[in-house]
Amino acid sequence: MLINWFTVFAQIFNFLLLVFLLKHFLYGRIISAMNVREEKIASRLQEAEQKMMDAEHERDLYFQKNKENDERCAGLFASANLEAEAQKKELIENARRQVDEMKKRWNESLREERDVFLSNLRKRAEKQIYIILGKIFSDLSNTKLEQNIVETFLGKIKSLDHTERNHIKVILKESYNKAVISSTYEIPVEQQHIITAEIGDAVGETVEIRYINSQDHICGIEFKVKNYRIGWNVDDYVKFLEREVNKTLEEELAG
Amino acid sequence: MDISPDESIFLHIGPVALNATIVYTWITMAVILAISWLGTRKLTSESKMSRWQNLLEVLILGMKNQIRSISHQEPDKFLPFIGTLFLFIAVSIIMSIIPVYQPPTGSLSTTAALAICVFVAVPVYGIAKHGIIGYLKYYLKPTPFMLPFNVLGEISRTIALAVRLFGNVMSGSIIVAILLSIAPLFFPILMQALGLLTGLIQAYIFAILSVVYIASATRVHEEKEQKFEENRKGKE
Repeated sequence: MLINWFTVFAQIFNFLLLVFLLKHFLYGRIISAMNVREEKIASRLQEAEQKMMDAEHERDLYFQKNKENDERCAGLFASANLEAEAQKKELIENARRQVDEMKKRWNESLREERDVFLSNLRKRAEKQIYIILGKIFSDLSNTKLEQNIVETFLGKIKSLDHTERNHIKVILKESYNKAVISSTYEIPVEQQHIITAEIGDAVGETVEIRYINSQDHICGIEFKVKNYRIGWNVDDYVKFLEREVNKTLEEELAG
Repeated sequence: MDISPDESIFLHIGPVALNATIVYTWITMAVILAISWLGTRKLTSESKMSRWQNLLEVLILGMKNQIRSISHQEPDKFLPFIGTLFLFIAVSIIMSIIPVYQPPTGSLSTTAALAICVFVAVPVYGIAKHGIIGYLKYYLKPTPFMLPFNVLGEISRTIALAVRLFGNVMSGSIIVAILLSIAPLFFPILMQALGLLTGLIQAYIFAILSVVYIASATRVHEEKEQKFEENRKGKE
């Protein structure tokens, strides 16, 4: 007999016992360990996904902040540009103002220098002209320069018109017929008499004239009653020369 | 030469005779339990684990996947029964390469016992799933006249299951024994290796067929009931 029923039942029992034991000591434990691992992996994956989402969120936040920073930087840059531009304009304006000021001062100093120079020039020119004129007069004729000056002065007296003469007369009355003739040189007495007589003829009255020697002029003679003056001197020509030189310098500065 | 290890008696305890089948079954059980103990004594749920645990996890995961793919159901409830069937048969066959060892599956008593277990497991799982009336209705379908044939089918497939395994394992052992007397060198080794392969295939077939039978008792009934319910609703 191939089948031993006792063995069959024993094997059934053995098999069921083995099922029971393996269920508790093998399958249950292994499957629970695998389930725990799966849960762990799932939780790790979920955690990783969460972290990924957090990272994406952080990245978005970062990009947004970056964008905001860029915009703010652009704004700051623009405002800084405007400010710099305004400051630049202000500085340029200040510099221009300072340059103008300096230019003005420089012009003033130049003008002062020019004035000083011209003044010196005038004085020297006057002296030189006087010397030159004296030399010229002495070279050109045999008469003295002083004599020519007196003759020229007398010529001017003689050429006074009626109105002018009346005017002189009125002034002379106010100053009790007293007048002064100043000259840069000593007028000889003969010439003093001639001058006095000529002026008396011109105004029609006897005039008391006081002759003084003055160094106010370079070379010349002048009749003074109160504020009225008439005469001839080199100053007029020198002043003319000065005016011309001034005019030339003004044109140079303007240019 | 003994055809079945049932005939080799190790010990008599009163009227009870402890034959080789029972003793080698115990040894096989001890080996399986020892491997289980080795694999589960340092059980960890971390990614790093012992080799034994890894081996057992691969084995159990493989069995679960096979059961799921065949039954189309969650394998957890079938795993202890089907997994133990496979492990017991496979370990028995693998251990048959040990010269003195006689595989208990080479005994018709053992294969019959396993087949009876499957025979009982089919209605147990079916009743657990659908209840006793729901399960018994299956034998009356498609018509009550089919009841004897259905019952006969259940019994015959159980016998086929037992005899198939017994025949394969026993024939392998006998062929090796015969060859040892005819050509004692090399050739028996090849046949032993072939026997090992066919034996493992038989273990796989036995376990798979058990799944098919049990799954048919749970799933097929369900499908039939669903179809019936759908038809009934359609008529209404």
